[in-house]
Amino acid sequence: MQQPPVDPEVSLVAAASRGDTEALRRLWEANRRWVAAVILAHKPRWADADDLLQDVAATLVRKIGQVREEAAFRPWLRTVAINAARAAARGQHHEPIAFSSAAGRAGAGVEIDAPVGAGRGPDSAAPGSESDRRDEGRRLLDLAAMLPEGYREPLLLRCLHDMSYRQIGLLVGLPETTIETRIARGRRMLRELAQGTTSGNDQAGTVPRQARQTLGC
Amino acid sequence: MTTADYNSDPGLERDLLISRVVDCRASAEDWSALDRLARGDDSVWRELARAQREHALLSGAVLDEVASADSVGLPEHHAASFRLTSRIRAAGAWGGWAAAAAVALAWMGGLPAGGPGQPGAAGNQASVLPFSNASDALNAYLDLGKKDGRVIQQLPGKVLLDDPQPAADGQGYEVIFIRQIVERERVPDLYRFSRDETGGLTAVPVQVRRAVRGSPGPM
Repeated sequence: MQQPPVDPEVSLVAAASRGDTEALRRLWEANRRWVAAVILAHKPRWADADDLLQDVAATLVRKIGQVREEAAFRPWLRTVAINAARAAARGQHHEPIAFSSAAGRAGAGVEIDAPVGAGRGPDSAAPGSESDRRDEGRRLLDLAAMLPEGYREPLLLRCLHDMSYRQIGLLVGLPETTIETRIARGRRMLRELAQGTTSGNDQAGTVPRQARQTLGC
Repeated sequence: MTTADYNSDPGLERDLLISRVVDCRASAEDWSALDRLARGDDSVWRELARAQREHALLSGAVLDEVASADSVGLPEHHAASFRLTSRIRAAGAWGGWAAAAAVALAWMGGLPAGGPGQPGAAGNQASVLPFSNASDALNAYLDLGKKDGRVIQQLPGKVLLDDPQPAADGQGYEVIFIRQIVERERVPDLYRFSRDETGGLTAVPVQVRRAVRGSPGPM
């Protein structure tokens, strides 16, 4: 079993467990991006990632004192994130609802849990190469959702650039070599899925033959 | 072939070499091995180009998705209760349970700033409003709200937002908190936020059916 390296994060975890709110805040800010990627890898398509991330943040505040081994903080936080995503898949998570102003009282309405960035949509619809790239990237992300879980998560974590194979391995509890293999094979599966949806050899939305074999379908 | 037996996958070496180049981890030996493979099958270079492009596009999409994580902070009310719990725990650790009790007593006692008999209790508004202080106005709001159905209940718990501080005049403590009042309001429309095809957030009107007593729930 690999031992995690000595990490300055360990002292932050210890301080946060003792009630140091500044340490807890720094801990969250240092980790929330990869937590978001884990949620992305495990959540159902319809679930809002920011809502789930907020759930994880709330659990972190409530339960940081239960982390017995500081070095195991990241795997623990990953488990919290996966549980939040799975709870959403089981329908235990509800999307926020807002309501408009009361009749006859324009501007007096109350908004509940409006997600950050609400209303920023129209700008991103502008046509052009950047928009095309985004569309293509989003399509690949949708296709990545079809990969087996054990391949999808390392692949998405690797897209964060600042996570090495070793760090991903420590996070998910697998040797670095296994992570490398999974990322390499995940990329091949994704290539085959993308080729299958663009070549027209297969019906739209179906998994091409090669990818089906690789996926074990 | 299944996902479990990749060790017997003849394409694995090729996948690993391409993946190492994509991740800028390829050694001189890896490049040599890739070159040897490509001499027998020039589709290797096309596959490498495609892998690099897809990695860039996928990374862009993932980074777009997780960028909003930067705006998700620790929930304030949870952070406040975290601080309070830690404070009480710390007080207990050095035998200072009385400190925690003092906080609780101050809480129950209220010590409202600007309460009756304190400066600021009666302001200029007293001549306009039929209340001499904010507590009376709040009580009137709660009473009237219950009568017309707007106020359902005031929750007994209050959420402390910061550590209590001794008052400037040395009498009691100043606490900053959230009062929780459950209210009812009739609204013309309900909206649910979802993402459109460009990834932007958009408000979508939703219909909620009225629950019928005695009928089975949704299957």
